[in-house]
Amino acid sequence: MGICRGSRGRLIEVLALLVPLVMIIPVPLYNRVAPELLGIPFFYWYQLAWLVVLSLSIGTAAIVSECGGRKG
Amino acid sequence: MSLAEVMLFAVTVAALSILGFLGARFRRGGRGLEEWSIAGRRFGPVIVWFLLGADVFTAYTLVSVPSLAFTSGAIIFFTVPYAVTFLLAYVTMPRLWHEARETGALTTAEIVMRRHRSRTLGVVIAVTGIVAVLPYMAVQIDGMRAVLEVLLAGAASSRAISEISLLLAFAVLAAFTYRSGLRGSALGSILKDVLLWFTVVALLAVVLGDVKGFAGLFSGLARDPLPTGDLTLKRNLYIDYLTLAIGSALALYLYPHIFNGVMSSQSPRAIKASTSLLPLYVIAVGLFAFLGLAAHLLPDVLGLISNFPRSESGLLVVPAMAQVLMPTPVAALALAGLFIGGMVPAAIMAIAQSNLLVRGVVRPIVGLSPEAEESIAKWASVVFKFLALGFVFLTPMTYAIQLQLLGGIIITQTLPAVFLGLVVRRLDARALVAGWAAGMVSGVYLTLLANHFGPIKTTSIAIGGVPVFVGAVAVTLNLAVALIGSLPSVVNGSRGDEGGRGIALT
Repeated sequence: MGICRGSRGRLIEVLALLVPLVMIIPVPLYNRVAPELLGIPFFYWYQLAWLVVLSLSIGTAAIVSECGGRKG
Repeated sequence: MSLAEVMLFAVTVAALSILGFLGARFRRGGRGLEEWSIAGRRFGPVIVWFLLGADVFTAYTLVSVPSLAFTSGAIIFFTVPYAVTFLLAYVTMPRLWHEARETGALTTAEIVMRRHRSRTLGVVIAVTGIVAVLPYMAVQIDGMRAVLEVLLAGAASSRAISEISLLLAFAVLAAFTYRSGLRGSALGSILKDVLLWFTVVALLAVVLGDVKGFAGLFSGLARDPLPTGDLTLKRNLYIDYLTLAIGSALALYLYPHIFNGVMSSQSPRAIKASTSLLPLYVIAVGLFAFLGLAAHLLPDVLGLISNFPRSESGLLVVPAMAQVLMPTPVAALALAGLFIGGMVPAAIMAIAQSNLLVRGVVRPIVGLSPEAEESIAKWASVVFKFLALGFVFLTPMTYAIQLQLLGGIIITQTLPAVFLGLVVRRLDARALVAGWAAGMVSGVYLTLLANHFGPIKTTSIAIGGVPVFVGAVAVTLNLAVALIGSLPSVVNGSRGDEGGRGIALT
């Protein structure tokens, strides 16, 4: 029942992959100007920040599914 | 244009070529087609990241994204949510890698052929892949040509010089690809990416300086609104935006050259690791979009662009920015980066096409020895490159872009066979072919319709007044036909190959 390649790990993997999806699909929610960051409208910087979240999410999913040493 | 700049440019491009030849020795393994085209499946995550970055970070992407930002506005930012493709890759590619390795497959065509026991289906997938990639190579060359036009602007017979330069560049490219295959391209990718990251950071720094920061950029834009929005997206475009992002996301990993890159990985773990880092490239692409928006506020850049035919304006935005705003040596490096950014993907695309030709079309039909395979593939890669080059020389710049838009839609039609088949094993091969045909016909027809049978400027069709990406519509139809057509075999538990006859010929 551990995290590495276990069922809990599977759950984390699935959630990790769902988070970025849920963040990016509702376009109307982020299609706005305020709050700005460094003069950049929210619409743009939210999506750029999302890319970092996406990267971390996939990384998390990868770690959780591949840790535990056995050949992949 | 200055001779010094041209020389620095040429030296940098030559460095790529040398790396390309050296690549033959880069982590060398065995022999044969598997070695030449997918490096014997030995690349670790970092190399694969660089290699796959060869699609995200290409001459075309870095030239067309700013170009569309310049002409249309906010809609181009769909290229960011398009990164959901990496989620799709995470879910599909490790399994496809296993399936490929178990059967010695190099291509999607072979996997599909074996999985669904249909040579016809395999050939269909192979031909679709080869055809979809040709315009993609052509637009890379267009990007390279735009770079040369800006570099040589003002020189006598610059047109002739740029065509000769392209021929030369391609001859060298063909030679080192023939010799080193994917390994040479991988090394080339590293140089390309280093140059391009440098270019995006340098350009952004200079441009932001000129327009007084992002605040200056966006307030400047607000004065003169762009068609699809500037500070935000226009409200009626939500569906368009999402379907463009998701529709294109479905296509990326179906493209032969991307699939090829993934197959060169040493393990699913390496695939997952490199996939997790790929979104970082898209950050740079997003930043390039800002550059395209900013061009409206830079009169010197607009001035240089106005010397060229209007139809090419978009493509010239980034090269013109580099040339006008940066000191000469820096501009030379940036332009070289963009130029190499077309060469390396072109090489990888040609390798992938050759694989498809050999393993997806020729070998299933006539059978080939391993030596013949490798030999034919190598020569085919040369031919494909010059085919694309010839196409670019003989047609106006905009043709390739139009065909590329269509190419994205047609490659998506291989989705049911390649991806859905991973999950629903009992798909009927004939239903898949029918679905493919439905998707192809509707994809092409709807695109033509959306453009009123004129030049292709858009890939969105209005359905009930709402613009929707044609690719999404076509693949939905495709899936529906494939699934409905497969119902009998899924329900019966048969494999749709009529009692295990082996290779079904339909």
